[in-house]
Amino acid sequence: MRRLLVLLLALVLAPAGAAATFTFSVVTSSPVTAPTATLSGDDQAKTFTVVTQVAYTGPGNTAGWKVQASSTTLTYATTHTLPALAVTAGTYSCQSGCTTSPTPTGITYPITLSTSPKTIYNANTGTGRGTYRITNTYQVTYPASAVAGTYSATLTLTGATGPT
Amino acid sequence: MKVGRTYAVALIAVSALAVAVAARASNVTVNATVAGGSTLSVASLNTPSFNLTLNGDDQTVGYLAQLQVVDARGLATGGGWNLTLTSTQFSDGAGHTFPTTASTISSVTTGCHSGSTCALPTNSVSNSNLAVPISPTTTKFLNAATGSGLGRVDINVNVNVAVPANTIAATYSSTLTVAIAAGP
Repeated sequence: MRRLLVLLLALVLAPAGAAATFTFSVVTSSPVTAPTATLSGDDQAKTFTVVTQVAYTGPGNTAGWKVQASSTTLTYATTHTLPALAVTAGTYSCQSGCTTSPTPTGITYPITLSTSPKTIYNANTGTGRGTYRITNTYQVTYPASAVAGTYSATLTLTGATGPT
Repeated sequence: MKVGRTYAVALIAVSALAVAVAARASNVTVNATVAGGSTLSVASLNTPSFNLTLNGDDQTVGYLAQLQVVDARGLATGGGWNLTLTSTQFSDGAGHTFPTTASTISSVTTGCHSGSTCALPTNSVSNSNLAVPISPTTTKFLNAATGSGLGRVDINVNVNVAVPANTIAATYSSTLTVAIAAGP
């Protein structure tokens, strides 16, 4: 009976040990400060970047992955707001163990953010195997009629397996 | 008892697989600062003119004066602005003039200039059938309540000119002077 139990343990643990491991983190420190706009009478746009890291390693890491973003409204003094943040670009760089570079699928920039998560970068099935840093470019639009002040929003970033 | 341990290990293994695909979320605060500019200005966008053929009757003709206001101060309170107008009497430079009461503002319209998501002025000045005074008298013809009139605003001022039947044929000129001041 003891031998049978050991065998069962080996069978059960084998799939867990072989599973791919996915981790996601935000590399850029919070808060992020977008470039200041000095009002001129005309609309202006400024960009900043946020770097995230995806590590998709281990045997069987073929599902692909995605980075998603949602954002609250940039708000100053409760009543003054700026237009929604937009993601205008995304690039990757290899950190380690990169065997198949991420091939994005179904992503078209710019992506206007809302409180609902939207995929801002992904790796199609069978790609993105390894540890990568993703640099996304975000755009803040400053309307000519904006009120002077410092506006804040919360950007929520998530990572998960599967490109969609 | 031994069978019970097997179940426990199996549950741990399933749990490990689930963690491998779970989404991870992080929040980042984004700050964006809008700095107020110093510009509060008005400029003319055109040099209006008109032609009239005398016919024995008094006639009225119109022209459009196109102006542009820039308010880049970004003031939520204590802002706003007003426009005043004065003019010189229509004259041909040879002693012939139109009456001093010849010019009248018939209407004023506003719109955001291309590339400027402006806040249109909230106006409280009655500016239909408003006499255009002769310098040095001025008259307020448009204003923007505080919190409005922000950005680059195009302003069309429609002016009617009354030309008497006894006018001497010539080229007459008048200069409009528009000024902007802070506050509605």
